[in-house]
Amino acid sequence: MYPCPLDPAALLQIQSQLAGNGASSLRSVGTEQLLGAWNDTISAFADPRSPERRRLDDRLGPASGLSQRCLNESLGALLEGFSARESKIVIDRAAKCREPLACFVILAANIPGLALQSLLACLALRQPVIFKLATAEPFFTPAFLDALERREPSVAAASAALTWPGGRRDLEDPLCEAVDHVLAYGGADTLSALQDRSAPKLLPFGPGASLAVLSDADPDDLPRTARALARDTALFDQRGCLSLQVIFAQTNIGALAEAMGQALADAAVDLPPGTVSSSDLVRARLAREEAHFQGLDLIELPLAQGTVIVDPRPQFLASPGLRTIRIHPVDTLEIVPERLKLLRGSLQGAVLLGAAAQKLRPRLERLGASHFCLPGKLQSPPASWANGGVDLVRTLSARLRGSAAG
Amino acid sequence: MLPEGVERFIRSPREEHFEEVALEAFAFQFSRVEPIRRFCERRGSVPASVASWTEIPAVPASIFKSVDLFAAPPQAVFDSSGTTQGDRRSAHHHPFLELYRTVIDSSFPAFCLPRGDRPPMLSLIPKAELAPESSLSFMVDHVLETFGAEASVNAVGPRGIEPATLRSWLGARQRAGTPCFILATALSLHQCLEVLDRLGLSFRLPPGSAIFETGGFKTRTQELDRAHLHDRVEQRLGLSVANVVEEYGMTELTSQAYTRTLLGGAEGLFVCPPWMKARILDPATLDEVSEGGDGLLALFDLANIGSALHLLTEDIARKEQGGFRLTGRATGAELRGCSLTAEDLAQGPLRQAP
Repeated sequence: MYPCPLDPAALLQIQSQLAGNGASSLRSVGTEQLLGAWNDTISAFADPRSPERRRLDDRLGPASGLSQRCLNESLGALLEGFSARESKIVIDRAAKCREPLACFVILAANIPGLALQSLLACLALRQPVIFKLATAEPFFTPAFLDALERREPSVAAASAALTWPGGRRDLEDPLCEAVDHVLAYGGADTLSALQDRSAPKLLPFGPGASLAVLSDADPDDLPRTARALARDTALFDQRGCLSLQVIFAQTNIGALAEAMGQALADAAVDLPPGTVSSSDLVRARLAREEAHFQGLDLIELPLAQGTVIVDPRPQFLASPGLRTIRIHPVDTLEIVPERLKLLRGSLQGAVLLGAAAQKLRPRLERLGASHFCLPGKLQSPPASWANGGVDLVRTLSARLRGSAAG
Repeated sequence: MLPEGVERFIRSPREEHFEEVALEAFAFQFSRVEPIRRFCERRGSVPASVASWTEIPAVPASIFKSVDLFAAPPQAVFDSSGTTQGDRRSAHHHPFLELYRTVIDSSFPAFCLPRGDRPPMLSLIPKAELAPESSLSFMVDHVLETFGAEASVNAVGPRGIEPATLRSWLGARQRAGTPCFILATALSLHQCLEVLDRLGLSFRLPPGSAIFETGGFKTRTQELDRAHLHDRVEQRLGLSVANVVEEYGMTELTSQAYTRTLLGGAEGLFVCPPWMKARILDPATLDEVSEGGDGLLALFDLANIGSALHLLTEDIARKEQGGFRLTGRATGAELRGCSLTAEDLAQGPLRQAP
């Protein structure tokens, strides 16, 4: 990792070096060689007992706020999407796209491993990339790059992970100017500010929500289904856009709620909650009290472990976090896409269980959902996942004419 | 219609009577506000079983966004400014505006006019005729009318702060040499200072002058730095932070808490009037925290007899010296992103430069 470049000129020099020597050295590496190094690094990071992971976890654990077991499982789930087969798909698709463009990626802190998708896309395209790390979690990406560079030294010349206090326009503006693409993961305010500054090059990845739709769920399978849904909720402590927030179901609502309560209680043992802030606790408490006021059925675990709210009103309400799940009973699944219209552009993942639920896929796609899966796989999108509808390899292989993602 | 005890207590509070009046108010509300009655029944807390005001179930203030609560036909509907959860605003259907005025009369002078004078006032808050949905405008209009000297003015027009009015009033006060009083939100104070910056004007307001400041420091588009704002107040108006009374108020409440800065109290430490009680609750258990602890701020406001007496706010506060100090805010649930931990990049361009 480069030291914090407080000097704008130094930062531009890094960018210039990456774009010159770095990009050319990366282009000399064969696909099989690059893929081998990538797969080997992914395997090392997927194994919590590997030396590279153990060195990282000492720092990543506290910085992420996740319990060690939850961190292990969460990273494991995320890295599952970067299997050798999935990563090869990305690299193969990029084989013909070798225009030497450069990328600046602004990362958020809540999901360790967030950098992997853009890193793989840039490597596949042999493009240099600079990551701006979140100051709250500056560990995963540099550790991964170091490990990858040990296996494939040419990566070192084409990538950099840096951090500086956010809002340093003296650093960020010239860098945005110098690169061809700016990928930003952030909240609405962050992205809005960036939009003003680098709109034509910006690929914004903003807040999102994920849900499950269950039709004709077999009552005998409910415990297993609930365990998988609880996992989709608990991984990364329900902090990501692929974290499960709501379930729409047609039948067995009471049994489903009971099963979810039990599954979240089990998840609290298997995937213990991490550190929680006062505001997290207050938000979750207020959601419970509001549900009580409205006379809704609740299953209340210790506050950080989870809450199940059965809400007959079929509208989407964002979860306050802390593994809070709303179950909406619906007479017909047909109304689900209608009720999600306000989420257009923010819908990310959908667990679809049952034939009738599967039929909703085209309508949910039109609302922006881009990752469809069975219970338990929400947090394992494939490496080629079009996050926010953006096919990264295709998008990064050309100069942008306007904002491409929403 | 209104239980006599409530208004009497607000006019002439005697702590030993608080419990009795609070329970009387609860019985009134229980009988007249159907959603409250159902909620309390579900909680097993009915007038016959409740022995203390602390046992009266607290209603999340966010409920005002989806449920209309009123014990009598509303005389006004006050809306929240809607800086959070943009699509849902709180609406307080207020049935007892005279009680609201009584609250203002019984608390504002004690915290803001401790010398008992009636100074010329400048309001930087829109009049109720411009913002009929604003409870703050209602309050400030009443303050100017009741406690402001003849030279009091409101400097906010349809297009914001009127520079000519501002300049003329501040100049007149500086020349007069007698204490004056300014009522503002943090944002309108900031806007006032921007006007003075543009005009290149600074004033030395007379000793004894003070500012009433309310509202948060964060808006949709910017976050103000409090210390920086007060430095600028000192530069442009000649008033130090010791001359600033902070008010804590909510659309969903009728009463307000204040800092006792003009009485030598600590900056940022809010104190409730005798008819409003603050408790800081552990969000995990809803038990009251001990002195110095942080938690969810709950307020019991006797004057809120027309809607919900006991409220859970969205504020995080610290219990301190018989009052509370705000330490955070848990605004409503938002979409998760690959962005939850508000990456600090966001704060840079949005925060005012110190």
